[in-house]
Amino acid sequence: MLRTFSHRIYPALILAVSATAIASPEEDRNALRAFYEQRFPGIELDAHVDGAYALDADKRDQWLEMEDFPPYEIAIDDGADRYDEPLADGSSYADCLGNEAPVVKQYYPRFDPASGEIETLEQRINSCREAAGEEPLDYLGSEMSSLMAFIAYESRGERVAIEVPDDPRAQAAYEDGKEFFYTRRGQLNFACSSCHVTMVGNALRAERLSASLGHTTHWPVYRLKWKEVGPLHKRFIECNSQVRAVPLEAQSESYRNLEYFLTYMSNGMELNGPASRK
Amino acid sequence: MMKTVIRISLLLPLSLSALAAQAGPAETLERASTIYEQALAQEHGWSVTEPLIEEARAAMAAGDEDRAQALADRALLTAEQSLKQAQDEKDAWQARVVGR
Amino acid sequence: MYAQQLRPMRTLSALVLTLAAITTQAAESDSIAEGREIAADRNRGNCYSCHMADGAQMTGNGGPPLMQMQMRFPDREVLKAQIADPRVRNPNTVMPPYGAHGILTARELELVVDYIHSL
Ligand code: HEC
Ligand code: HEC
Repeated sequence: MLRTFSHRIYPALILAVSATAIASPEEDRNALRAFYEQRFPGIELDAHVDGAYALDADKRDQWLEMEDFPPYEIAIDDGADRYDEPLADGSSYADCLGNEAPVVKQYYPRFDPASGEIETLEQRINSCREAAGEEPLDYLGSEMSSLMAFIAYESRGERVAIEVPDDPRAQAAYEDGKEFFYTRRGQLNFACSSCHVTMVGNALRAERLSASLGHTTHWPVYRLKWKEVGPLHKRFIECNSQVRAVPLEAQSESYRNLEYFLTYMSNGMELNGPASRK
Repeated sequence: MMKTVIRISLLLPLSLSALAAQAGPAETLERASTIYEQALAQEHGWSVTEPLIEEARAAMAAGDEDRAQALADRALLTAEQSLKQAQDEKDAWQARVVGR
Repeated sequence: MYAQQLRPMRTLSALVLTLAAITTQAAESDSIAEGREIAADRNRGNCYSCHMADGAQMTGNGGPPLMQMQMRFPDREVLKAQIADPRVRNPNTVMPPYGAHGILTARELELVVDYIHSL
């Protein structure tokens, strides 16, 4: 009697559990927003697009001074020139990037049903190039960063609007990115969330740890440390390396999925790239 | 799919590693390298392991057996722990999800 | 006569004892100094990235200030366990497992514990 009962109830229970375990992206986003809202009662959530400078008035003042003469301006100009130059077959980036081009940053990264994977804007640019008979660009190189800087600049003020469509592959990519974000890595045993959620707002030595909301809105970034404009995945590489994990390749599947998750968390926030950082 | 197959095959070497303690530095290093490769395949390698392996090899080449063994032991420890981390984190990450 | 011979011997052994005491004391403060150096080193302990401690510069605040350690940890082994693997006490800790993950060697760990226990 009891046995049959438990046999019947178990599958139902397991179903119920797995249904609650996988929260929808929208539930995740709302929970994360609520977390930061509670953690920083005096700070508008939208302010986190400025990263650590949203948390520290002194550093913010220094940074605003730096932004008076934006160190990424040359990259924007260079990117504009490259963007306008016809590709090998006479077509242009604008033809390839769709009607709204160059104002497209808000839609990336996106799920590509053809490949079943997440496509970043950098990858899109390279497939435009290859379709037009050009060589792909180095994902960490200055040419790609310049193009990205121009598109980011043109997309300023748009609000992040990415989707996780009703396709199990898209949902799996989102879940994978979320897992990456919360997974401890490296000899020092940190997840992204250890620093940007658990310790957010604390100082690591002299550095204030920024919130993950807004982490994707302002790329590419001119960093004083890099002395050049660089992409988001370069920052992933650095954040992985500093905990003594072997970093992944820029544009690897895991980093693209991570970018997908992180960008979804910033849905609705204003694009403000390129930006400068210490 | 691929990932699952890799994960399951990874569970074996950990239990064997205790044996390595009695072996010489060359054997310890071989174990360390194998386990490190497995951790890497799961995107869980630690950046300290390879330099330790190389340092140990250099000590071996220089004929300093004791130093080679000490370094090889450290390489093995980091490799094993990186793989353990990969395995533990398969579930552990979920407890950290905000809002859960 | 025996006594006469013994006296210088006694003085000598007293001298040896005193010397020994001085060297242990020196050794102790040496180990504390070395432990402090390891704790401060960004490539080894890097403890100050999260902890304030007496005399430390540019400290972070992800963890509690390290003070009154002998009072908080009368048993040195308990302190050592916290540094070797803080996950045992708190599975959700952000503090790295310095011993379990081989971040510090066994010797370095002992030196750091000596130093922290002296705070
Ligand atoms: C050991 C702590 C630590 C970990 C773990 C960590 N980061 Fe960071 N991260 C930092 C610090 C420090 C900075 C620079 C200050 C800031 O903006 O928070 C930073 C900056 C960033 C930035 C740039 C923010 C901006 O405003 O430009 C991004 C994006 C980022 N991290 C993402 C990640 C991701 C994704 C992970 C996981 C792969 C991660 N971080 C893991 C410490 C960490
Ligand atoms: C990434 C941040 C971080 C680093 C780096 C760090 N700790 Fe901690 N530490 C913590 C946190 C957080 C706690 C609070 C208890 C816990 O979570 O384990 C703590 C607790 C402690 C405690 C217990 C304090 C008490 O009063 O209960 C000691 C002792 C300690 N740490 C020593 C060290 C030493 C020594 C180092 C360097 C070898 C170090 N910590 C590095 C974050 C850190």
